[in-house]
Amino acid sequence: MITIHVKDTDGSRHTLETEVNPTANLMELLTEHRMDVAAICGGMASCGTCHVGFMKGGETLDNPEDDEAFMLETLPNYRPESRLSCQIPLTEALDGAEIEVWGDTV
Amino acid sequence: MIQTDICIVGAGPVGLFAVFETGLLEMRCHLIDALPQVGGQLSELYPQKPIYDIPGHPSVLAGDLIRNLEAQIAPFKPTFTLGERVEQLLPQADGRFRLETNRGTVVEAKAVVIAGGLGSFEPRKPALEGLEAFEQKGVEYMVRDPEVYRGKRVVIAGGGDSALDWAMYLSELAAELHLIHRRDEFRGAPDSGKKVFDLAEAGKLHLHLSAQLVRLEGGDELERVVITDRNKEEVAIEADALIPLFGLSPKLGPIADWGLDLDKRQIKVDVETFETSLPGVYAIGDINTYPGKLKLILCGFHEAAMMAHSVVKRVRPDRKSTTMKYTTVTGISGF
Repeated sequence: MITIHVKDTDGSRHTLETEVNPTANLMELLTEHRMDVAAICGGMASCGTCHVGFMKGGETLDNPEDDEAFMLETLPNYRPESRLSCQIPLTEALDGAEIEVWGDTV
Repeated sequence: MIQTDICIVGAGPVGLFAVFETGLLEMRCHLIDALPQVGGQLSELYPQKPIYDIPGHPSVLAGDLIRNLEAQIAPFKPTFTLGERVEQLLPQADGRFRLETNRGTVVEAKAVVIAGGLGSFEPRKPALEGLEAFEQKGVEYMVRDPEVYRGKRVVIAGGGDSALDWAMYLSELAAELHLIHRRDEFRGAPDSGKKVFDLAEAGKLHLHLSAQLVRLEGGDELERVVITDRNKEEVAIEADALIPLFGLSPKLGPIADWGLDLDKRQIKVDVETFETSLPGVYAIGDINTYPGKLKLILCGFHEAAMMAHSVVKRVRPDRKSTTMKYTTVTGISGF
């Protein structure tokens, strides 16, 4: 099991627990728990609507692939902590992470 | 004013296929979409990506699927208003509907089909003090007419393909062109990135890398764009225009104000007819919701067929037979 701490767009805080499953991703976990993630392209790194910030634990993740990096760069609310949750597999590396849901607009 | 049987709001794959299904039942369609091209998010977000769950297509590129749909509906001669957003949906006393766009186009239809995905694509705006006060007073989120910028001092913000393309193009016209980008390199087309660096070296444009927009200043019109440079120090750029190009994001927009029953950002429909809470207004594709809803293109196609066989009773009450017929038997009779 891994534990992820989430601050949603309305400021509410949630602790999510899930099995390790590298074929599933963080965006799916967030939408399953009805966090404010639109994820309109469904996980193709094409829309930016699943944008989150890793306030803690981001350094243990693999670096963004080109598709993700390109989309992040486009977002007006990009910060160094930015990631697209659809590109983050549910692996041990996420355990204990603290994230904020940011979405693709300010 | 445009008169039609059915006005389809949204020209994505499901809106396009609705032209086919309603066309089989001899109804004419006019489509309106906020994007300048048809195809919705397939054209806008991922035209070069493959889709694997379209029946009969082991794999099809999103852009190709849209081109095929355009060919498939061509016999029914749909008409289009593109690059405009529907603002108003007004039921009329005679049972018809009047739709008005943000650019003043008016469509009158016997029925309305909303196939709007997650809404209309709107420019993403940067978080910037004073931004809204200068909209249309120097700040524009897209370039409609490049000539407007001839001889002006222009600031473009962004690092994607459209920011690079417009920076190159406008550097020829503008008195001064500044490109603000938050990193040191560009991930857009590598060729464009190189050209922009070359132009900067030749003194044709001013490149501000590892820079951020901070605030806008001016009176009635924009006068200065203040940024921070790579050393986090403020730099004021005298400017007549700012064009932030940070891509597009879908917004439900005015649809939320049309008096339809909604569940979060989706429109509730009757699963037999795909009619909304407003009789004569239907919703198909990603924008609707019902128990068991799956946001798949193929489900949207199914919904288009179901909708067509319901809306025909309203649009063509004179039609003698509404029995479903196979296209293999009847062929396609266009208009």
